[in-house]
Amino acid sequence: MIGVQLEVWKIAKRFQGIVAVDSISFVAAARQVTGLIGPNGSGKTTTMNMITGLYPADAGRITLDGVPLTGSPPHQVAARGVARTFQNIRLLADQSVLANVTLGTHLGHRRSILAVLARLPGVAREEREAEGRCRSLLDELRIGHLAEVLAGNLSYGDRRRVEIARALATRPRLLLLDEPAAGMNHSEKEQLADLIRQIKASGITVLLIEHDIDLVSKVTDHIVCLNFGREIAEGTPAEIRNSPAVIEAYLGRDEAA
Amino acid sequence: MSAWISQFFASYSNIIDLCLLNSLVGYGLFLALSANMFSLATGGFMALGAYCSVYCTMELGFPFAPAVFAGALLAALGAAAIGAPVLRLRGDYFMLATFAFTEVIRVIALNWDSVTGGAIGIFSIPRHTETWHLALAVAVVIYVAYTLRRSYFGRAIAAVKQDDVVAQSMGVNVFMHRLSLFIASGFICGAAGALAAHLNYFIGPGDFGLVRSVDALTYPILGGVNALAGPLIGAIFTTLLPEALRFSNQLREILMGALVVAIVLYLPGGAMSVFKLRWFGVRAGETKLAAATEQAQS
Repeated sequence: MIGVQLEVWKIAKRFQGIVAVDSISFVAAARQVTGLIGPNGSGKTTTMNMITGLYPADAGRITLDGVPLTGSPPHQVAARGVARTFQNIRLLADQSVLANVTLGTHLGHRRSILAVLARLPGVAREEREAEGRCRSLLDELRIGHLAEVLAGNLSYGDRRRVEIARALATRPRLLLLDEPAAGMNHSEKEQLADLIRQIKASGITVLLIEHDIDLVSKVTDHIVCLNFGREIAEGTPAEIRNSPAVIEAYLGRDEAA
Repeated sequence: MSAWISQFFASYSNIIDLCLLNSLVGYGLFLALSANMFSLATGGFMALGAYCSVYCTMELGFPFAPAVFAGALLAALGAAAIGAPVLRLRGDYFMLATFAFTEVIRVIALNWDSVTGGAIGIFSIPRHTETWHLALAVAVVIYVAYTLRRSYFGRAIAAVKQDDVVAQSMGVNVFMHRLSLFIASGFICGAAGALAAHLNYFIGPGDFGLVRSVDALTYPILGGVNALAGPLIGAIFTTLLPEALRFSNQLREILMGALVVAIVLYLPGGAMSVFKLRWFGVRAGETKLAAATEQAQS
């Protein structure tokens, strides 16, 4: 009901002559989980940063439900309903989990600064609603008991969950997860897989950037595989697992091995 | 008792006024620092506020309140004008650009004789500023800072300060947030300049130079940039200390400098962080230990 379709068409990015993304095109279908995989340095995170507007794309086009997204600064991309998590977890370490997640409600606040300063009743109500929504999000992610803990004191897996909670607090229509399983143990990965299925069930489009091909195979409907800034394979998880190009990218050629 | 209080005010009213005035400037900087803007534009903003308000009262015959408002507004406009290009700069470059602004205003004040009185300055300004004006201004600014910090705006600013990539990704327009804080900072410093001008009978270009800007930065930094009371504590401390050290003119500057260095070295969170250390001492220790173990493991 809420998920949007992301279309990426021949986007490219160079950093001072070094080609990070050569030409990548793919579609993340609405309300599906699409996986973006590839070895280190294949251009996954650069692609994500171009979608979210952190880097302007040198070429190509990005659209959400057919409406162009290319060239919008990050806060406008967020306002279009795109939320993300970060590969190298970026929480505000000296603030509580609840405060971190509540930052995600920023775009939901409609009252002006003057209304805030005048302490109009609507402002307090808006704050209470935002807090209530964040608390129930934390409960859904089974970290409700950590609401008052400083984010910097959390375990690794919990920090990842808080990042996802913060992204969900923005009421996203497209959620980008950047290597959410990095550094997780087996049982944490299982829980993460459940969580991603749950997010999909709520109708949000998910683009999952991941190293771990097992996790990606479990939760995605469609996979795009990158290497050296180009797309080398695309298909269902089963097709990708048997694709010679993917096996070569991950394991190397026969001669080399 | 009341006689004692009135005598106290009579003897120390100058110092009290100065403390309040410096606190006001301190809060102006506090707003800028809350989004990591180490601004040296304070002197320039204060000069704009001071000269404009004096021109309004002495040449145009404005009542006091509108004159102060006009001065503050002009400083806010100045902040808006330089903010757009300057806020794109980072760290050192931002500081240099804001310093340049203060210098440009000072040089204009030095040379625009017909309005500013040039190097001689302006004498016999009517003394309109009362202690309660200053106290009211400080109270209003504290209320504004307190209310904003607890709102979505304050959350956004805290995120901008710590990690602007995160702030942007959550939909915060980082540039507009920093610009509005910079303009607010300009407004407050301009109002402080206007109040100072009508307190001291005299203004000259030398009153609003680099020293003024650096002093203004030390108030919130010494007091603590994370605590709401920080600028107040810092300004009172910095204003009273030279008075307390009057017994030795030579030692005064040295002691003052040494204290500033000591606070920056041993209390990087400012004087207000002493309270946090005492309350959360044990927990802070645990956190450090946890972070160290985590680093060792990874």
